[in-house]
Amino acid sequence: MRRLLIAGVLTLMTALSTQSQTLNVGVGSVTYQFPASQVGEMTYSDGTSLTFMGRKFSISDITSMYVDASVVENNTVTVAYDGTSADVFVAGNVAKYVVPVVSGAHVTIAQGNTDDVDGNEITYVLGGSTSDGEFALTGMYKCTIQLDGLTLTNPSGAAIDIQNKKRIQLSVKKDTENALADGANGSQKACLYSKGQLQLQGNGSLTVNGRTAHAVKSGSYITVKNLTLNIASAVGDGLSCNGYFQMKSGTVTISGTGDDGIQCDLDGTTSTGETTDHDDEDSGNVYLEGSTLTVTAASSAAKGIKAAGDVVISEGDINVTTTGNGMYDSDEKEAKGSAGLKSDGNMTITGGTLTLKNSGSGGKCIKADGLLTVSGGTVTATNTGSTYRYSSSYTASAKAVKAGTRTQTGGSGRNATYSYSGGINVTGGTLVASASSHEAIESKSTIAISGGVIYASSNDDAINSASDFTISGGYVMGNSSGNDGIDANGNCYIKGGTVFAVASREPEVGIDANTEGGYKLYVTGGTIVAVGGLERGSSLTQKCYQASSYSKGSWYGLYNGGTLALVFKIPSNSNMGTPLVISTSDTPTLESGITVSGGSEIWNGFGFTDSSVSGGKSVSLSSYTGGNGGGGGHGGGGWW
Amino acid sequence: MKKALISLAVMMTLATAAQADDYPFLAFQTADGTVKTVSVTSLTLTFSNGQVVASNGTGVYSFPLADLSKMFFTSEPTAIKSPLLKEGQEKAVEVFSLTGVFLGRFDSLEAAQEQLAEGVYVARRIGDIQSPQTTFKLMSR
Repeated sequence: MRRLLIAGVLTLMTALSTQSQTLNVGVGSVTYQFPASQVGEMTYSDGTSLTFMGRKFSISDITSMYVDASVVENNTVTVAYDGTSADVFVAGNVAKYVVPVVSGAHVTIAQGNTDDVDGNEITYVLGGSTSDGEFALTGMYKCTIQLDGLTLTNPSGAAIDIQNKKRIQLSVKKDTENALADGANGSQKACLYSKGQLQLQGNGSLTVNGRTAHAVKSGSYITVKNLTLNIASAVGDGLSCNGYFQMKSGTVTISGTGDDGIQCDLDGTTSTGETTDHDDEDSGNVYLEGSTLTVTAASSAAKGIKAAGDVVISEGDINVTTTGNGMYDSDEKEAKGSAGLKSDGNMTITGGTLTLKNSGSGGKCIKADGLLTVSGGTVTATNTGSTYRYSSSYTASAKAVKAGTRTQTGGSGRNATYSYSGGINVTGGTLVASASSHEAIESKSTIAISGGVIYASSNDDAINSASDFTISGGYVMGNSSGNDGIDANGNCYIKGGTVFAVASREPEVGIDANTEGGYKLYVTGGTIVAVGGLERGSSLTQKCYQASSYSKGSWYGLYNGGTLALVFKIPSNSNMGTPLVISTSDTPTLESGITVSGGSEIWNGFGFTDSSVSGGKSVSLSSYTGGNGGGGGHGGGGWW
Repeated sequence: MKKALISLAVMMTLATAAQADDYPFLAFQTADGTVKTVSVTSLTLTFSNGQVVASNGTGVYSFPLADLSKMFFTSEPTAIKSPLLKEGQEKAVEVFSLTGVFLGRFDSLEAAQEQLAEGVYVARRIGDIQSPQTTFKLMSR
């Protein structure tokens, strides 16, 4: 047995001592590598040409030919940049499909039909460093470009230029750092440009500087998966695409852009809408499905994320800061402001954590021309900007959240008629919105709230709808220090939920409806606290009461037929309105000066749910029949 | 011991697979079917004056481009594909069976053909200093 083992080991050693052979055919800076096991017969023709694996070479072009033990990975073309030069290595099995041209460190490859390639596509592996090079690819077939420790600057054009309309996977090799930069004042569309679909992926990092136009541009969709992508600068957009944009995972940071952080346009003229698995989708939609996205847009009227279609957010940690002031668009004859998230269509938020900040004049944190739906996640929108004023006729207001569209259909002035589309629909999640100078949350159409937690604060109306406003569930607080807490320019329906509205003095009211326009506030249910009372002429099917007084900064416990329904704290705004109106489904009682323990904080600390209370004293209540504001009288009783 | 045998068997299987990709020779074939092999160890090929010149650690070999029809890698230094040598090449030869068994040394090709039984053999010139490893096919009728 021992002999058998020794013989076996000797056989093994002999076998392992053998090496694979590779025939390398050099044509200038390009080396074609043909494994001996694959190359088969290499045929001469008339003493002038030599053909390897279907690739014919003119013998006069061959500058070197040698055999070594190189290991060749099928389907691979490797480009090694080194200062002012680049070497290209082509795997033999794809030699007949590519025609590389190398000039210094500028590499251009024409790729043919790779349908017959096992695996159906070529992988281009790019590595090394150059301050004057490029990688350009033409052809009609999909491929993968892998970045493997690449630092590539092209002072005279795009760093990577893919003139290929098919799907391109740009994969950044795990644990590698890569950087791309293009030259200023060029004609290229982007530092990293792909005419076709661009899938950005890999577990490495990529930094891109776009010095002429966009940093990354695709003529079709862009997807991001796993990648750590840092857009450090761009004259135009950070990421620009047509069709749709989808962020599946990874970390994307965008700053230093001259225009939008991410912009997604329609490729054609008609949207397909979202399609199954996004096949052939041309929607202009933006899908944010995971991981971390941080965008800082500082240019005038720039958008953090802009979609010609919808914005759909289901997961991820999304931080968007816009600081650019408003500007006048002479083409559209419109004053425009910046926006953290902007959709020409709908915006749907089902999950994730969104932190949106705007400080530019006339800007918005969220602006959806269609329907904004929030059913999950946590959205914090903070707008410290002021009004942008190009002229008295052209202004843009700074708001935290704005959605919906109102279109004038006839008349003028107070007699104007409108049609409405889109709006705001909240069924879940948490929405915290604050604005310094205008509405924190505004719908140019309707607002419907059936769930979730909403806190809005502003010096203007905290929450405003151009059309009907309906609350049937959730926890809603509108805290205004200079106007109405909740304001509907159409009818306002309180059917359920928990509502805490705070207004400033008359003529403002806690909950307002457009009585002057023939509309009305309807209270049929819910747990309601309104500092500043309710709109005059309201229909109060559910009985309302008013407190004889209230104290700023004090905690109150509101009981519904003996059951604690809400714990709230009166804000300490100046010029707060009166009276304090409450309503519950059963006869309410109110206690002031309570001590709160446990539970979950809501409304930026102005409320608690599921908490326990102790202490306090009963507040005297009297019947309230409404209403206040708009020249109407108070409901009577004393306060303050 | 059983485990050791299994491991050895697996390793030998892998080794055999690796060995299958070993092609230590590059063959040059001319239009008339003549094949000449050279070792690929440190092999470089250059084109000059209508010739392809193959250089490795043991020699330099030139082939007229106009005569070449193909090249291919091979695992054996064989010239079995070559035709019968022309008569009159009078150099001593060593003759082997197709299985590699040494059969004898003969003063000339003709002498070998006369003395050997009818069949196909592999022969090598003894005095060929430039290409001592070059073998060729020998037919005795």
